[in-house]
Amino acid sequence: MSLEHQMQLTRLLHSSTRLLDDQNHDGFLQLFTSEGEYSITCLTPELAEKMIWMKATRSEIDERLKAMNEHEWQIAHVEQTRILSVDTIDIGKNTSNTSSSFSLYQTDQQGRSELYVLGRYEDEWQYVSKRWYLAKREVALRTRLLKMLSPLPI
Amino acid sequence: MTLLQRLDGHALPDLPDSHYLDNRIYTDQSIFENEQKNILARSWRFAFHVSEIKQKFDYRLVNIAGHELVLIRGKDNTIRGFYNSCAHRGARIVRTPAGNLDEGRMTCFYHLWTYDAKGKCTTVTQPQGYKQTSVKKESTSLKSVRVDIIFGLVFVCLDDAVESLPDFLGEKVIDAMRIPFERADLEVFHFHRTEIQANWKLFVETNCEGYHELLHLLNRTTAVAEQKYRSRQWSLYRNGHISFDPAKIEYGNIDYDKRDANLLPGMEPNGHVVVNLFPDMMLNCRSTVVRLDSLIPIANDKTILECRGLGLVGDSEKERAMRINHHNQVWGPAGVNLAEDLWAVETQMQNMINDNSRYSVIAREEQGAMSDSSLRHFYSEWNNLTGKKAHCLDDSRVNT
Repeated sequence: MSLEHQMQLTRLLHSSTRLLDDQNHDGFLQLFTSEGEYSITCLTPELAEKMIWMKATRSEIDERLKAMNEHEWQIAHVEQTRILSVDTIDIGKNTSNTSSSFSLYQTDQQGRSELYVLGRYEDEWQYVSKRWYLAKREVALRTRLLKMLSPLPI
Repeated sequence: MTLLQRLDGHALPDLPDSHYLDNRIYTDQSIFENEQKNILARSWRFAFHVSEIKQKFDYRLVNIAGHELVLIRGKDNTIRGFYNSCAHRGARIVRTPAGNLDEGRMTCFYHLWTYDAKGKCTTVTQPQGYKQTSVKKESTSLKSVRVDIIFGLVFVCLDDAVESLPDFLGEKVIDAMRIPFERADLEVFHFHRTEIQANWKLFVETNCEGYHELLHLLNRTTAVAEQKYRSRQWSLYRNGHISFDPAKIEYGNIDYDKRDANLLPGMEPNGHVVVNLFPDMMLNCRSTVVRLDSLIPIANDKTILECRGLGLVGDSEKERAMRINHHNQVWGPAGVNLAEDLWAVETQMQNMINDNSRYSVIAREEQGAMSDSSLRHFYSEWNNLTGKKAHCLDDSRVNT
């Protein structure tokens, strides 16, 4: 049973990156529980503290994604590719925690690719109706000097 | 019959000199060097907020006009600033962006000379080797820089001949800063840096003109859609400083939280205050939270933007979470507006580098938020300090 859970969580983690790469935002949001939370954080040596760059509920992320085309965000027009490595999976009865390292590459309109950010996904999962859902995703960025800002999920 | 001059970004605009810019002011290396010397090193420049070095011997590294400085809170609570360079052979002394000096002492890692928090040399290692020379720890120190503080904002000036900070700002600007800075006990809760692939002035311009608010969904919905907002005036002050008259924002137009609770002292519900300090600092307050922008121009086409968010000392956890949310919604690195400003200025820069655009127009003369008077005021001061003419680089005297 534990192996099944492990496989399901691994598959969901990989699909979370692929859904974002493909701008399948509905699919990405469906990974979350209805009360799911999403945050982007970054440790800042200048203040020796973890900064919160974004903290939003699933519905707030949904609103932002739906309004995406009314904004002028360069990031929305750049192809993205995430490479993910699952580092730890701690499975409980109804909740689990996973930690994954990821790198996000961007490909511009001329076809040039470059690394955009490095970080970790620190995830809390809930087991509901025989499936794991994201209750909380913290995107803990290692890269803090970005060339392009992202109002969208990373 | 007069033939109307075509406005195409290449032909000389048929406008008064003050109403257009020669875009080479953004791309020319000699202009950047001139600015570093005559503006960025000769103005009072924002370094950080006092809350960032709270304890004695806390320090912060800052970059002013290409120079790395270390600013330290001394045992006597005074903040002093020095070039971060050993008097011996020029090695970097402090090597982390912030921290606390062990026993108030800095040690150069190269030959182990030490300095105290007042910049005085306390150890010259193996001093017997200098016995026959004038080198003595008593006559050795780090080179100091001028530091002054107003409303908790720490400023640095590299030039001893420049007027004092209060004189540089002037009474009217200081008055414009009083709310919220004088009445609120503020602290920094957010800091991030972003690399902008554009000239520093292009970003300054986004902070001192209201016309581009049309770029932002948030601003065109909550601000410029309101007639009352459009009549908001720019006030122009000596030395190139400006402020945007306080106004109210209609957050309800876009289903954002109203900013009508836990206000910063003196701020009106849904109020908005903006003060821009020449050359490169913006103080921006939206009722519940303050944003401070400052710039580190690296090259003519590369700039580091430093953004801070400030809330009240003593905030409860809930209040702080609210302020962080209000800050991040609009301004943070994942906020809705900042990414738009950066994309706009980076596309400008690309076109200017490629000479796809030779002239920029800053000709709006209306009374109100969308006037370009603020930009013309900036460039009037820029002309004074650089000895150049921002509208025409070919016909300039050189300020050496």
